[in-house]
Amino acid sequence: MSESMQGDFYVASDIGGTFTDTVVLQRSGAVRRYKAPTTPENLVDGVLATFALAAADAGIERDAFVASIRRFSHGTTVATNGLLQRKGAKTGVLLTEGFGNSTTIMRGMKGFGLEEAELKDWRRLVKHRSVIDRRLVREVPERVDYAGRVVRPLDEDATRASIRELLSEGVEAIAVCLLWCTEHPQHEQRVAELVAEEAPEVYVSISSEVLPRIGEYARMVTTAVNAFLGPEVRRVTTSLDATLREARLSHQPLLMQSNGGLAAVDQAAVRPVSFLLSGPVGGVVGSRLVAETMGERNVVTADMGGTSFDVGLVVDGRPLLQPTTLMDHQPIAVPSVGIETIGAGGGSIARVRDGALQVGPDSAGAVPGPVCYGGGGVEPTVTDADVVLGLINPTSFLGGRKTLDRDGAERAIREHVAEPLGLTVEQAAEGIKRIVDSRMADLIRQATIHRGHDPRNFVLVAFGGAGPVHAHAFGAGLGVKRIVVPVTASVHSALGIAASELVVTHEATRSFMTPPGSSVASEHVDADAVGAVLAEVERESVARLASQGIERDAIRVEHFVDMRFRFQIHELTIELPEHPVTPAGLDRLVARFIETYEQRFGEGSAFTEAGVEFVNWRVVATASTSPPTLRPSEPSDEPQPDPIRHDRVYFGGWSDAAVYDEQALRPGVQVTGPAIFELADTNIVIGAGQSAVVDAHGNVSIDPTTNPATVRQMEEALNG
Amino acid sequence: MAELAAAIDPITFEVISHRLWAINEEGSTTIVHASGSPVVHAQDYNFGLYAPNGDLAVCGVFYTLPMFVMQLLIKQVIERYGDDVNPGDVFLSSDPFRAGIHQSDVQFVSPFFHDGELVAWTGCMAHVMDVGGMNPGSWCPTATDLYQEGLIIPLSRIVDEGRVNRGVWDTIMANSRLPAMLGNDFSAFLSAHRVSQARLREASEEYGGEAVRQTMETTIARTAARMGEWIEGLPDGRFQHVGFVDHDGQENRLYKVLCTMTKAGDRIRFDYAGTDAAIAGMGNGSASGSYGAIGAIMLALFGSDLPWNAGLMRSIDIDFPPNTVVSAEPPMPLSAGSVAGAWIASATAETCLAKLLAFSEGHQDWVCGPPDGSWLLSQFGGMNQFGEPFATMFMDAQGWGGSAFSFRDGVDTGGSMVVPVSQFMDVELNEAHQPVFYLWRREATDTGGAGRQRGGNGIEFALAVYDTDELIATCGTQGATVPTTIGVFGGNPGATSLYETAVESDWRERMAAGSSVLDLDGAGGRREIAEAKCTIRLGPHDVMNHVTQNGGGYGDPLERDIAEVLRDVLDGSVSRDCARSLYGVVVDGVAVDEAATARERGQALAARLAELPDSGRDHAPRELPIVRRWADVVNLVRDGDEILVQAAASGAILGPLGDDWRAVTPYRVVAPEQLGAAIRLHEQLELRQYLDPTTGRALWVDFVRKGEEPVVDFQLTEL
Repeated sequence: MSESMQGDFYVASDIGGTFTDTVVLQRSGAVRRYKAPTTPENLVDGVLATFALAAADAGIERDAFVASIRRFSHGTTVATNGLLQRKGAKTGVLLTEGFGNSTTIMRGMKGFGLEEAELKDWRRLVKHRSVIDRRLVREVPERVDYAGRVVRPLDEDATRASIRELLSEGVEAIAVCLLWCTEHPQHEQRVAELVAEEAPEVYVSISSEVLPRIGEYARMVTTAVNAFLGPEVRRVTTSLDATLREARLSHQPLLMQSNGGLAAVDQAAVRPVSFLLSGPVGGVVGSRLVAETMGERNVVTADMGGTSFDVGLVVDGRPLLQPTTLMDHQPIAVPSVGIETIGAGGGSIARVRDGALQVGPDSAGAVPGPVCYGGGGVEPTVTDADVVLGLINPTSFLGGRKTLDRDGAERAIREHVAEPLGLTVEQAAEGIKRIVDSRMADLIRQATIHRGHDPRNFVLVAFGGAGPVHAHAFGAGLGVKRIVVPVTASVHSALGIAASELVVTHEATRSFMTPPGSSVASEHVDADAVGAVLAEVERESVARLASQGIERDAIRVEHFVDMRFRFQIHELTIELPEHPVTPAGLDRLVARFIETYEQRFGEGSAFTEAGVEFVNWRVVATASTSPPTLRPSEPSDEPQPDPIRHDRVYFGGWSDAAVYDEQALRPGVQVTGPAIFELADTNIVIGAGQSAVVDAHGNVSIDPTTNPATVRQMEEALNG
Repeated sequence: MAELAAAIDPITFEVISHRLWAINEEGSTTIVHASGSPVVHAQDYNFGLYAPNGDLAVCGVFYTLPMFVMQLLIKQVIERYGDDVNPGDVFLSSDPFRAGIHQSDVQFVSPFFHDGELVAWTGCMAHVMDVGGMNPGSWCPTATDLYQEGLIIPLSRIVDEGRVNRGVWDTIMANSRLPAMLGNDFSAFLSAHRVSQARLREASEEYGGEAVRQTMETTIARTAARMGEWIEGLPDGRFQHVGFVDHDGQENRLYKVLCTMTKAGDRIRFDYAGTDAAIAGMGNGSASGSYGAIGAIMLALFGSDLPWNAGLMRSIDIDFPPNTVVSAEPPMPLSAGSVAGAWIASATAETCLAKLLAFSEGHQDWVCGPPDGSWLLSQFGGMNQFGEPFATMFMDAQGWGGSAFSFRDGVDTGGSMVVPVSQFMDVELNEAHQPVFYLWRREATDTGGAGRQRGGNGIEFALAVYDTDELIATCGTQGATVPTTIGVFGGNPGATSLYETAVESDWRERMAAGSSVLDLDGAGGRREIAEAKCTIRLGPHDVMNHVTQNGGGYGDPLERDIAEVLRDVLDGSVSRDCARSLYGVVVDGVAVDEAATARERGQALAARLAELPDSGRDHAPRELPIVRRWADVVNLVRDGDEILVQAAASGAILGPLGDDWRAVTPYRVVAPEQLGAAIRLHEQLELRQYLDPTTGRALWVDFVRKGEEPVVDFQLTEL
């Protein structure tokens, strides 16, 4: 590793739950990975611990290693945890007079982000607790109309009095969200000045800066969450920056944003709400990177952990962004990499209810965990089923660091599932696995086919603790081209973060409409006016990148607009086919919208008679920092590897699976299932009848075609 | 529990069940995204999968009233068309007299075949914006017969083996003021069928059509079996509740809906004998609509613990006498068939169930008063701010408050049962597209029924005409003078619904000058309370305020936990005045004055007792064997051969049960304002609070038409 000690490391850490993963990417494309326990009290300690490991690996002092880092980036769950655990600032909220209850009215919604059983449990269906304390909401006397006209001037004295009231309540942060600030931000800006005059130390967020988008409920929640997280995120990131500088890091660290790009860490103090998906997004970006090495531009990313299963999409080489994401059952209206989640993971509990077997969404979590972990778990989980089926070897799993209780797992499945249903233990275990696999496949189907994306154009990249064990099954039958388990599966997010670019997304709501019955948009919408709106948004985006030290000509800009047919509510995000905007370009944009719409909702579904509306204009500005790309391994002359042993596995019947270790992940190696690659932190399972090949980067690529005989065999066995 | 022998293995069953739910969700999403109707966006639509015989198998979570109506419709298609049902067919109907709700709720059902076998039906519906009739939007408050209202679409094959029947299509469009929007909704329905059937095809190819069918039939059979067992476990008896439709579009007359529920063995029968004849005005429901409304109760109440499917209705029988308020027949008007009589049918049936379930120890958490009393229609039309004609229904009124349960308060501003997963738009979205300006939209303080658990507060929103010269508002509500959403077991009713206008208001000048306009008093102009059902022309300076009817409380409000009353006051949900007058809690600053509260509560109980006539009976507490407990208010106790009514908390003996517990339970007549700040009462009604004569504890609160005997809440078969 001494070959390139000259400030040429791209280093990234994913500061996750249990472990902090760090990857060191050399200019040459070689990758090294390190893990250390996460240190919740002071996250940077865990990062420095991995740096020490990397330095030792390179045979140098830690500080020398740090000094040679060309770019350090990281992902962190600090904002996410703050929201989920409601650990944040005491936050006052200022809303337009007459609308102070909007945060508890929640547009009447009780169902944000719930699964079927919860939605149908009407007797217990109540609204989710808002992050906003309604007693810390004050109304601001002011009002602007839909056209941006001031109907009632801002009453500064009354506003000042409300601010003082909040201060006397001890608020540490104040969020301001006024109606129609998207058209007229001056009232919000003035309120922010008043707060600064009254209490310069209080953290202030105004919605016209955090999210200038029409729709006050999501905007106020987003702004309030920003204020709520602000002080703590500022503290953590400032301290991390300072500690790393002390450790001789030469530059400001970068932090992963929800939008799939990096930002200078000081941005997190201003816009913490933009970092809520900092952790999981790394996995999507990492998957894109892996797929890129295979020449694939469309990727379904599948992250199966202990309690949840997350699916994201990369379309045409770019992570799919969605304008709004539900977090903790609240709408966070920040453009984010779209990630769909269900409660399905290794810890998902299997239960028999009314003669039916259900798996998840309840999870045994880390405590007590699956029965086989011996942590006191009683109800059988997916991992217990995996152990019983032989997919996880109880003595050698995770490099033998932890011996699993196979008998316990078997007993739990027998008592709780097999006996009540009159099945054998193997059938019950396979049933548990089949149900969870099909729930995950359903989610992937919802994220692809149901959204108008044909899975036949996609590869599936699976990672997370349980993803490599199950991908052979949930990925089969979807019609994807390949199922890929990256060799870096366990540090997948860190890898994605290392290889990311700086990105700024910014937007503005400015409505342009065509009248009902019209067909040529450019006759009704002024292309120059549209161009002016986009130019303004672009200027701001570029300025934000410039403030992070990026030169203008290193910035790539893409333009999007949220569009809908008039009288509709739901929008589709469409990329502008060309820029700058011309009348003919506008008409092509509308044509692209209609085409996208019909692709999604079926031919003939477009409501063209209604006219169209352009609503939110968005710019994605990307700095091309050209991080290193992954280096393929040299083709190997070594013969096909020998299995380290054979394990008994159950795929509709017991058979022997060849088990390989990580040494076998050499380019060109081919195996036929059932087979298992036993890695230090997970198992890659190849299903019975499937074939897999190891590519030049050490990734395992499974041909998703299953052997149908296996399924039929199992069904026959079940039906006696 | 008896295990059912299933034709399908439990694992494949679960795998397919989950897949069917994903398909159902996609069907729902397709409608809501592809539809142009604001009503659809507020979840006034739904989607379901049905078994080959038409039984509901998988059910969406939006507007639930139509889900069992579509079941009726599919069964009629099967009956009418027999073997002539083919792949690629789509049938539609909005005929409320056969299998429909009202003219505006258009249902589309389509058979799904795989390998030549009928495997399932897909069904979807929505409230569409205009199907003709005398008023834009097809709500016709002043219609006196059916033929003034919108088009009724009888059962028709709109798509015949993949080919749209243009004649039928064009006939419908020709009857609408908004054919483009209606056409778009129809297209959305067809897209939903197409998309969901494509997914069903994939699933059938993967698992076999037979397995898909068996999964649906198995889940229905299991649910039916479990329902039968649950019902079997409840005491047999007869239960009654009465409700009224108020206002018929001409005058504020009352129309009675009487529900008698008989529970015997594993069956429940609802009988509406004694219900008033259908109205020659607005307010009727049809038999099929009322059937669907009762189905919605089953989905919510029993479906909280069971899958949502036809099994929930297998144990239920319903008798509608011909041509009543809940079972109108031609030529009676029916444009409000989705919300008027049908909701009173539902409210009375739900309350009968509450009266029954309260006898079961294991079902105390199921007991609540009627959650849905009235829809507060807010239909506006005219020219919008862009000079284009428009018509829209503001769905903000979906923020009515839900009823309280024994274990929780009702949901504030969004407690609907009939649309379990409801939502309405942002103020900004409505203002961007419609010529209105909101003066306020907020939780209406003190509008949920007071109780030990409080009913949910409703929503209040004021719309000012903006950037247009004139708007036509169609008002249609009920429960403006009938507190349909009563509380249970001593809880008070929620507020009644209200339309109120400020005519020729100078709110604009006031706001421009820096004044707050926070209520109609502050808006200036002339105050008028609008009729519950009417059409109003609003001028450029007029404002209309809307307040919803909301859920009732559970239990005597004087027993509400003091800390919770304080929380409500500090949250702004309950005013200090009502904290004192309804809950007997004295809030001083940010704390409760406990001594004053104890005094206040004592005085409130004493004041109740002072109003009771002397029954001449001896109410001394006695310890006698309890035969049945009715919630925690009344015990039926045995004294030799006789069953006596005992107040549960005090042990006081009220008297022999005889045929009716109320006959021996003293009551006082209370003015509406004594029970809630926003309750208005029809002059023909009185409110009664039944009390423990020894302590003053409220046992039951109800309204009774003056001069009529109250209903008999329960008569148990065996004691």
